Amino acid sequence: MRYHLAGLVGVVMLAAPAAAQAPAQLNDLEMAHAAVTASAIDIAYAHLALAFSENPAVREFAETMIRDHSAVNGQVAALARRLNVQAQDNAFSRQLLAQAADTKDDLSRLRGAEFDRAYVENEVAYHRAVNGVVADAFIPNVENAEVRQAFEGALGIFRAHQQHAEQLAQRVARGR
Amino acid sequence: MRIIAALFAFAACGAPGSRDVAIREFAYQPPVLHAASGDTIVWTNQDIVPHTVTFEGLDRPDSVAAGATWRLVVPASDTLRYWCRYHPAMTGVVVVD
Repeated sequence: MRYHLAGLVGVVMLAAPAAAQAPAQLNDLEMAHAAVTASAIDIAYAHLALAFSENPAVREFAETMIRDHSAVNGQVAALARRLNVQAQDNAFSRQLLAQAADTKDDLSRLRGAEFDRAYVENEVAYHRAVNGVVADAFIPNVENAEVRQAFEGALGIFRAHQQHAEQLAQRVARGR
Repeated sequence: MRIIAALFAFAACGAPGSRDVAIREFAYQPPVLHAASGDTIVWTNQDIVPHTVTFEGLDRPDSVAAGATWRLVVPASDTLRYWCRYHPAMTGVVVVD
């Protein structure tokens, strides 16, 4: 059975169902919550990779995802403390978590090269989707200048991750 | 006065110098750095995520935390290539003049 994880993530992120808010309609604190949630999800995916992958390049990528997304979330938390605000939970964040739970279940059933391919393909699709939301929905609509600057910095990081995932996907497809 | 000028000229030509590389926006800036043997290169990580400065065959800690610096005294060599182990697209070169 082939798991089409990438498409699932892309559809969820770009066409939020009626029960969830559209990303562009979130306020600054809700956007911050969604961004932290998206990073936490990728950290969780990375922990799966460390549990199930024996491919050194995949494991190194997963460790980088943990390091970098933890740093992004730390920056958001520090900014929130300085501004004396708290990120707000919202329907969009909850939808992300629900879909991520399904993706983790699917990934957890795989092993070996099949896991590696599915994990990396999901990383490519996930970062593409997240980058689209941050670039097209969050940054143009965020009100606070410091929050916008934080999103712009995070987008640079996430784009580097996408590039890394794309190169890794080619390598994994060649069986390396 | 001529002796002082000569001493400055000697210092400019002979004394080891310091060179700076910024690690910023997932790139080493400048990506190609010219330095002399004996110079000290200082890498400063201006990103919020950790990077590495990794040279082939150099057995020492290479991780550079956000806001931290990493130093290398340039050996007698030709061209030294380095990269970030965490982010493989990041590469740099030191051309030893």
